[in-house]
Amino acid sequence: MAKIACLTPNYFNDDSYIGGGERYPLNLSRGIVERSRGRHSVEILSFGPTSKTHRIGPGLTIRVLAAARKPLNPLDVVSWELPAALADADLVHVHQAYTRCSEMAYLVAKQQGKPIVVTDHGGATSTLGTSVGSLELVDHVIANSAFGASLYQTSRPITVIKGGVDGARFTPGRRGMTRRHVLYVGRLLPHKGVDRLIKALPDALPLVVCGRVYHPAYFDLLQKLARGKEVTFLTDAEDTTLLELYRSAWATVLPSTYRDCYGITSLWPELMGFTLLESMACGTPAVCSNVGGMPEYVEEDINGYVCDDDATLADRLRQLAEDPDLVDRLGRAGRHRVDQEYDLRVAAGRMLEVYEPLLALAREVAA
Amino acid sequence: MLSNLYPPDVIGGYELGCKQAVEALRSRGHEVLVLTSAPRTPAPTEPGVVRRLRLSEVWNNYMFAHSRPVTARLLQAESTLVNAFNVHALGEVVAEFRPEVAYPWMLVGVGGLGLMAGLQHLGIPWLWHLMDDVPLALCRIGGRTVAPLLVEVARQLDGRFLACSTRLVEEIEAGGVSLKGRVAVVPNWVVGHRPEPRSRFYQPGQTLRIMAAGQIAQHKGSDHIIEMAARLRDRGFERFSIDIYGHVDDLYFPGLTRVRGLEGHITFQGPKPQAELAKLYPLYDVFAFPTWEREPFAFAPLEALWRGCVPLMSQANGNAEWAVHGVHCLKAERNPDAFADVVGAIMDGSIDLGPIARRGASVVGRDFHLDAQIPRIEQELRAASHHPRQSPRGSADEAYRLALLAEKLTRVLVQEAEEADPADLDSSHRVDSPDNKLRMRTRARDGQSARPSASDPGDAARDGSPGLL
Repeated sequence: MAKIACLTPNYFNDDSYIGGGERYPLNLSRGIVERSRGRHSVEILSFGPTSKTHRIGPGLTIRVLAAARKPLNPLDVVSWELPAALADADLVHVHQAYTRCSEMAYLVAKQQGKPIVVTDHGGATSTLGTSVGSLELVDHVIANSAFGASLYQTSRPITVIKGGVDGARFTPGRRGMTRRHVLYVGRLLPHKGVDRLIKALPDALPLVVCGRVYHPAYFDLLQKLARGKEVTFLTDAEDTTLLELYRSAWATVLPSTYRDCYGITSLWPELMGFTLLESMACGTPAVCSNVGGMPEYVEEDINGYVCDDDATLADRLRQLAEDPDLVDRLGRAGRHRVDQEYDLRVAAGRMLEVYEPLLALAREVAA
Repeated sequence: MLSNLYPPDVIGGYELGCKQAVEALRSRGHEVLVLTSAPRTPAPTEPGVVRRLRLSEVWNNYMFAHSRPVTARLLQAESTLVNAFNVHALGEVVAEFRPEVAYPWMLVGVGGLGLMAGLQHLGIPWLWHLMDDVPLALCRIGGRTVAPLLVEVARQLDGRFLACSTRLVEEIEAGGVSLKGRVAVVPNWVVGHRPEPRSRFYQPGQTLRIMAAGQIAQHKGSDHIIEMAARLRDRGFERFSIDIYGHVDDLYFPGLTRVRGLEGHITFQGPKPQAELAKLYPLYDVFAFPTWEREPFAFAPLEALWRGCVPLMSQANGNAEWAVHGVHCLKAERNPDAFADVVGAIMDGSIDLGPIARRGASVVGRDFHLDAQIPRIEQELRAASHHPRQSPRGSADEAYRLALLAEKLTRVLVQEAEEADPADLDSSHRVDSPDNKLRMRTRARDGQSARPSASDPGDAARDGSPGLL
């Protein structure tokens, strides 16, 4: 039985240790345990003020390492406990490629002779690693999209593994249930383009904006733009609420942009667009801007729409709100795609195809 | 051979011992390449010695005194943890020389942890010759042990060791680095031709000639020597002289001598090179060596004994475990009264130095000569070269990349730690309190266990004079 250490820098705490940005690594880990049928266990390693371990289920734990100190950026967290935590792992999967946390993990894991796999999620906070070509230290690089793969500069093998959404948790609602709003789910940050969505929102169409506030000035701007429109902000929705929001939406929109309303450029605003996949899993069409990796997931007029401009976006939203059959058709196609390709079990199966040869090689060397 | 410095540039006996071992191995037909640092002052080039490492000069007190705390901390980290430049040099030298085994020595000052990690990454088996607590010292920054680092180093070190005394082995293991039973204890040695046997020894009524040589410091017991002289004088012994060789870095000792009114008995003679000291030993009857417990094994008392000058040493130290009181040396509890008791016994004729000196010189010449030790060293080098590797051999590029990453991360983390709290590297993981030189001295004067390490400038003779360990 092999033990996979899955390192994710995002802080865990009593309120959010299985929520938000940690969801993807958690989903993937669940899938790996499930797909490997007991051959592998996964320990998710993350960081907090004190050490603790949560057992999620058979073969899956979350181990919180005591952070050496609170960093300026949470992705730059490091812990003296990391070497000991990685010591008994057979393979280390690092989530986020360009952070202080990942740089430390490359160093420790490589020194310990562990196979290393890395997946970037766009959280670049440190260039120390890139300045020395740190990706050359890893054994395999995973991208969530071809767009994501194109951003890596490394000679190491890259595999695109799409998806990772929990299709058992995010499921369609009952047939014929009433849909009553447009939905945005995600962090409330300028590069997410929520301001564009609000501006493009046709009159009389309700919009629910669901996400945490990370940029107070931007949140103020959104609230101003929402005046006179039917926009509801939910900044602390529970998972059950979120599920119902997906199910009762005409569409989930992710209008991310390369250049935000403040003129700031983001080179990789969306590597995947995870909430679009959750939406598809719930049988709700996905609508996105033509940005990053999202168009690789959203198939035009099959499971959603890719909109190049605000006018098109407005038209599509109006069209979806007025045509339940269209919503139903796109929604069913999205769910089907999730089942076939984007479910965490499918993604985990592909990940195991990456892990297994590395584990076999490590065993061979050890022998 | 990997060594921070190499003669003629040395800190003390560790580097001299390294050169002696190199010459002995070469004389027995082995091909030996030395990788060391560029000398601190110009030195002649020498075949088989590659001075390609960069030294972080943590022994330069003046530089430290004129550095901002963060600068000093960065220098210390580079000195012990990792210096990517040096790992690069190691990779090049290994590729050129293709050694069967690496033989590291003193590695403080050249980013020793990085070099050891580099050796392991390159799959070069190693035998580490320990004449000090170097594995522990390499896990310290500014005198403070980074405990989690120590744990990881202890877990990953995968080679064989030579140690100069059981005491040193115990100290390193008690400090957290298990040598995992892969350590052989090989004492320090003397080299060269057997000196003329000494024929004249002290007789009561003569002036007893006592010497001390090495670092003049609290932990070496320099104050005990002065207080011992005061006790002797107070007990009515007048016919004795004490010559102390070595750099006087701390005016406390001459001051204490004056305060006790001992100028007529004690003379500070300044530093002398090893060769000159060798000529001086026969002129003295007793070599006073009231050193601290964690003395690994000093060369000077051994060299003195070989020339008929009987060491009077503290009961517990690395040298003491190799010699028997009254047979090859004299021992006393580490306090001025106990030392004065023994010297008094010599002066009143209760102890006859002649038989001790003869037996001691004979044993040193027979058992402690490098010629007697080198077969054991060769045996251990052979064993190390066959030590099975735990991980696959990595490339030099990879080792260098890892070193670069480690160096950059270290710099950033040290700077952030200093900015966040200058007194805190990580308070929850500190095992030693800051032992700057002043505090160290204060504790030692208070009779507590001071603990300068190999990484601490306070632990090494700073004058560069050979043989003054």
